[in-house]
Amino acid sequence: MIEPHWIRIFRIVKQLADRRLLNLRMIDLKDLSVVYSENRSALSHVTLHVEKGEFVFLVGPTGAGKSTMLKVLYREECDIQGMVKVMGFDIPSMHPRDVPKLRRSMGVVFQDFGLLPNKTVFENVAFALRVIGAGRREIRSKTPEALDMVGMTHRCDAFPNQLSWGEQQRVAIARALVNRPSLFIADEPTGNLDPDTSMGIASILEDINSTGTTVIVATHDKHIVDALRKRVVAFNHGCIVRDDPNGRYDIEEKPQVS
Amino acid sequence: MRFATLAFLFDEAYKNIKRNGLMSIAAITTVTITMAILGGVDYSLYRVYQVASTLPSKFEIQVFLKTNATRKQTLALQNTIQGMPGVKTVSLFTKEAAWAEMQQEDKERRTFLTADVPGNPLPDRLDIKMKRPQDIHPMCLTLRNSARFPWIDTVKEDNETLNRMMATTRLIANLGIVIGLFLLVASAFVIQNTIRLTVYARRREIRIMQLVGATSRFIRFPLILEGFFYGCLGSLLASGIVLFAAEQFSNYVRAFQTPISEQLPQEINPFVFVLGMMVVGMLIGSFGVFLSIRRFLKRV
Ligand SMILES: Nc1ncnc2c1ncn2[C@@H]1O[C@H](COP(=O)(O)OP(=O)(O)OP(=O)(O)O)[C@@H](O)[C@H]1O
Ligand SMILES: [Mg+2]
Repeated sequence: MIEPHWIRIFRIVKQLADRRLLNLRMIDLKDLSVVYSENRSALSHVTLHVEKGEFVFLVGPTGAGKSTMLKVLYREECDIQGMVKVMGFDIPSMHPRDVPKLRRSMGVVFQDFGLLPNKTVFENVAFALRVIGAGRREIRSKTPEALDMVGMTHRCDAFPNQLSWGEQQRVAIARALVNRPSLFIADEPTGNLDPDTSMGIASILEDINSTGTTVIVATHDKHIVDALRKRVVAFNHGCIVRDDPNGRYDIEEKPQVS
Repeated sequence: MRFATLAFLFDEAYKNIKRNGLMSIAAITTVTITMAILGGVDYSLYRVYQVASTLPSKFEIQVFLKTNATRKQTLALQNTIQGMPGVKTVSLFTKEAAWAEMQQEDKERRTFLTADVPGNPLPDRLDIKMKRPQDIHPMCLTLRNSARFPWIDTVKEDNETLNRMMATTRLIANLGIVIGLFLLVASAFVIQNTIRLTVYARRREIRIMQLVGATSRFIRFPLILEGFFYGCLGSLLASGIVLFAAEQFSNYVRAFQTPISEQLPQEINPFVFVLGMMVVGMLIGSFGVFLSIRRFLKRV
């Protein structure tokens, strides 16, 4: 079914108005549910608001629904109930044709999809610019900048299989950054990394946030959550069980003696 | 689309082909073999059809004149028929020649049927060859009009042979179309399956592209170029094989100096053949990719 042009134009204008004029929230979720089968739901009745420029950790045990939550934000998971607005895009009613537009205005580090294996580090990062039709000059200036931010400039001609996992994660972060998105999402960016490397990545995330970009990170890494002391949203069985503006990984509110 | 983007997409297609060496070779081989079979069968069927459609023109209409017709009237009739549309040749078989032939036969067989007959009872005969077999029957009907051709006694049309030849020709033509179409569908299916494999091997890449915001068009373009290339190169090789085989076979047939080999109609223009094969190959190749990636692209 093809929708008439004027409806599309109206919708685009409305989205622009929502984003620019009304200065809406970065993320606006109301009563969001994701149901995989009749008795199991990955998320149930989640309500969450994230303002521009915030830094949010999503924590919780395996299977709590953190990845599902992020997938809703970049509309990989589209079998959803409730209201979801991300940067003014209305996710549930979104036409598949408009999905690339949504994904270009955010940067995502995926839990299970890494780099393109047969492209070099430079090409992988540049790819995110190619996709939006960037010119040669733009690619030459923005790509090294992003690689520099994650400290991977010296390996720009390497292929992903020649890199360690931590280095690959950095390149994935650079790829997510290179478009200068206003929303940055990372799913387990420090999974399987040693504490020092994790802290390195955490400080990169902090740098990204300090430029005004909204950052949302799903993680199991107690270490970095406790070190950064940012907003912590804890999930369990698909529900938000805690939302702490300067939280720690664990529920105990009492400061632990160190 | 910007030039830099377009150049990038062409480069992507080129790199994909180079990088997936084994897959590319498999795809090209499949296209070559299926297109060679398709092209070879269609080529031969067309040749057979060409030969078959020239054969019926050998068959004649026999016109027997009345026995009292003078030679002058016979020759006038021959001229009239020669001038009618669709007529290839009209030859006169005189009653004298016929009588001599009959007597000769009689002598050889020792039947003595002609011995007691006074004079020559046989009429003059005109043998007509038509340019196209389907004109034979209408021509006979015209000649049977006794008001227009008063000196014609009977018109004999070589019905049985003619009908058989016509039927064979028609059968070959129809069979050719059916077999050709069937082979086309079969080749498209085989080629599409091979391409599906090459696309399937890259489904992860396609997924990553989608996740960083590539449009379907952007993902599709280099892949379709790739299918286009497979189809193109495969059909080129296939037409080479078919033309070479056809040339060898023609030489072989010509060596026998049979009446048929002298009568062989003009060869199929090799340029037209190669062009046709390439167009079919490219269409199958690019459309095969289009169908194969549709499934992967549907999941946004
Ligand atoms: N495609 C799917 N079909 C059915 N169930 C699914 C699917 N994807 C996820 N789930 C279920 O939804 C629940 C939430 O999964 P999710 O991946 O969001 O967890 P998570 O919090 O990210 O876990 P982890 O920390 O291990 O990454 C899990 O119980 C999982 O089994
Ligand atoms: Mg997860």
